[in-house]
Amino acid sequence: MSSVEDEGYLFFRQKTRTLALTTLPGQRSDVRLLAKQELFGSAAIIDGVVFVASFGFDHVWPHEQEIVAQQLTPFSLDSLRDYNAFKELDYFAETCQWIAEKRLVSQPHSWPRWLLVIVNKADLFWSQLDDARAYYTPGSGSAFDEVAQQLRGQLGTLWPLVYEVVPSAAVSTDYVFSPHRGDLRATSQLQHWACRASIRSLGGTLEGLSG
Amino acid sequence: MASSSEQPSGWRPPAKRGQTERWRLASGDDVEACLVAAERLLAQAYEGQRHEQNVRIATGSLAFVTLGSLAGLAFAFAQPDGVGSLATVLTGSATTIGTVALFMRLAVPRRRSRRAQHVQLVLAQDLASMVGNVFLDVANREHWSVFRMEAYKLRLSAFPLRTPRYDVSHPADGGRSRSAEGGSDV
Repeated sequence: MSSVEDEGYLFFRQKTRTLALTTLPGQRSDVRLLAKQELFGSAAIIDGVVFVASFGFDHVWPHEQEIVAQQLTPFSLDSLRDYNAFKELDYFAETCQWIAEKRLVSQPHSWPRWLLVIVNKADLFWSQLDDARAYYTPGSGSAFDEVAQQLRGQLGTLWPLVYEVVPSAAVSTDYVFSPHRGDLRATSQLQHWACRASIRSLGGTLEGLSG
Repeated sequence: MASSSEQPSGWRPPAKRGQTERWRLASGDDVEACLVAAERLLAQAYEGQRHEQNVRIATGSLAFVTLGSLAGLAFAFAQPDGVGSLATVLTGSATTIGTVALFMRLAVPRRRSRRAQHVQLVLAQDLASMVGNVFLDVANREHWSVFRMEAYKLRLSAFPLRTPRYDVSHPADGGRSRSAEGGSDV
């Protein structure tokens, strides 16, 4: 999650197209609320929405580690991942709600046409990729998929929202969560070249969706 | 000096966690109290900022009027027929000294109050961040209504963005807050 609102451009390899990206902060704050109102209000035109998931390996800021650690029973990596996955699901439901609201307040040409879920940090759960697929893939019937299908049901067939899920690993880095209760770690299982390949693949997916 | 036998009967060394004491999870009351405190601190910080802005405008206006007065006095002093040289010099000196004293009176507490506002704001953000981390878990455990959860989300949206502690520098030190974490959800 970003702690500031960022704006940038994604240049595709063919250089025939660029994609303007706006990153909203994950933390609930005035900046997030205002950016949401601007983007999902009546004026802005959105091509698509990217939701970044992490299959429970969400980054916990150092100043939040002790509080999060207090909530884990038992204190284990699985508990932490469940905790993160629960928060992630709530954020995803909120994002889906924004998309549904956008349809109510704006003209059809400004509605997002696709929703891409990037399951990031795949290097940390590469050996559990099937579990991740079962959780995120459309039609899997998981709690995450239920939220997505609920959104598609709300939108109906008049506004077919393309929904895709892709795994990715931006960098090969170990996951470390180290409050006073102890250290929880997950080792990266991918090499750097594999991470770079996943990013290239992600670029291709984005190009395909926005084209 | 009291001996160990005179210590209160309830006194005992802190127990090692995990052996005799279970981790106590936060409750809905804890979260509510924390959020109310955060909102109060945020309101105080904003009120302080508003007051400081009023003081800034007042001192700016005062400086403008003082400069105008001094210019008028200088003009009067330069007149050949004279309006009274000694009276002009005395008035000019008194105006300058009074203005400098007033500036000192306003400027010194301003710096102190800016620091206090900064502390209030950081504390409010810290508390809101704690609530943001915990309330979903508590809501799930205590089966909160959707209404209550949505209300909490909206209340948390009133707080300014929390930047990592190591990036926060005091405005009086000339620092700027900047974050380096990438990625997003939208």
